[in-house]
Amino acid sequence: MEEKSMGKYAVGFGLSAAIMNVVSSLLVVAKEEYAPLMNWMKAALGHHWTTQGAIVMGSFLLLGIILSNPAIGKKWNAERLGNVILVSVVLGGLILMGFFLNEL
Amino acid sequence: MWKEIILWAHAVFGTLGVLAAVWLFVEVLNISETNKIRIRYSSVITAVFMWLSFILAGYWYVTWYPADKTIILAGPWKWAHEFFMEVKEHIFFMILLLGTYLPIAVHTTNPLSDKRVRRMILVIAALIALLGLLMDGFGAIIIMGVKLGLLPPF
Repeated sequence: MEEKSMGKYAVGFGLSAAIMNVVSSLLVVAKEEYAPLMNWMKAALGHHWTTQGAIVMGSFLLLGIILSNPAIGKKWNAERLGNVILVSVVLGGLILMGFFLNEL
Repeated sequence: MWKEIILWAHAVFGTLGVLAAVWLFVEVLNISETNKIRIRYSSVITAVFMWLSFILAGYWYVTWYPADKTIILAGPWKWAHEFFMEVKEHIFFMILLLGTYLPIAVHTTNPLSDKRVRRMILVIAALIALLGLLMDGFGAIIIMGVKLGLLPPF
């Protein structure tokens, strides 16, 4: 009964946002450290940041649709999902700040 | 002229997005049958403002920022770009993800009947507001980096 207040889309897209918060930061580290990836991202849409935006938001939508599955939704409640989203923002932020502080 | 207008507008829409997230936060704290509709409106308004800010900021960043970046890197506050701009341009994706998810969370749950849903929505709104304020602060440091880069050497 506890999960009834959460729809499958709330769970699916919430998980997707949490995953992409961290993946986006890891993609930043990857493109900064691996020149061929950076060059490909620059060439793909004219600017690496534009390509990153398209990858992040496109993956968010795709992953959200895939994870919007009632079987997955039953395993999650709002408290757990809220905690995961909070941790993902903190972790993603620390990855970004740590990486660029180290680059100074 | 467009450079200044777009630069200004991205900050204005970002700030309005923060205010809309705070509005939603307060509405959720005081949730009842009477303000459910305002919670729905404020979640959509937050998303719309953040997307407008993102689109304008992205256009400005790709089109005009390279000139400012050159000035910052030649000036005394190189780290205004090397740390603050680099972090700012990538943390914004988190705001966009959370801002896009917020109306989905509000429209597909029942915050009135479940305290844990209310808490989750409060967490998301608070994160959007705090990250938005962080962007404002970082933007001020980046502007200072440009200003100091334009000053003649002492």
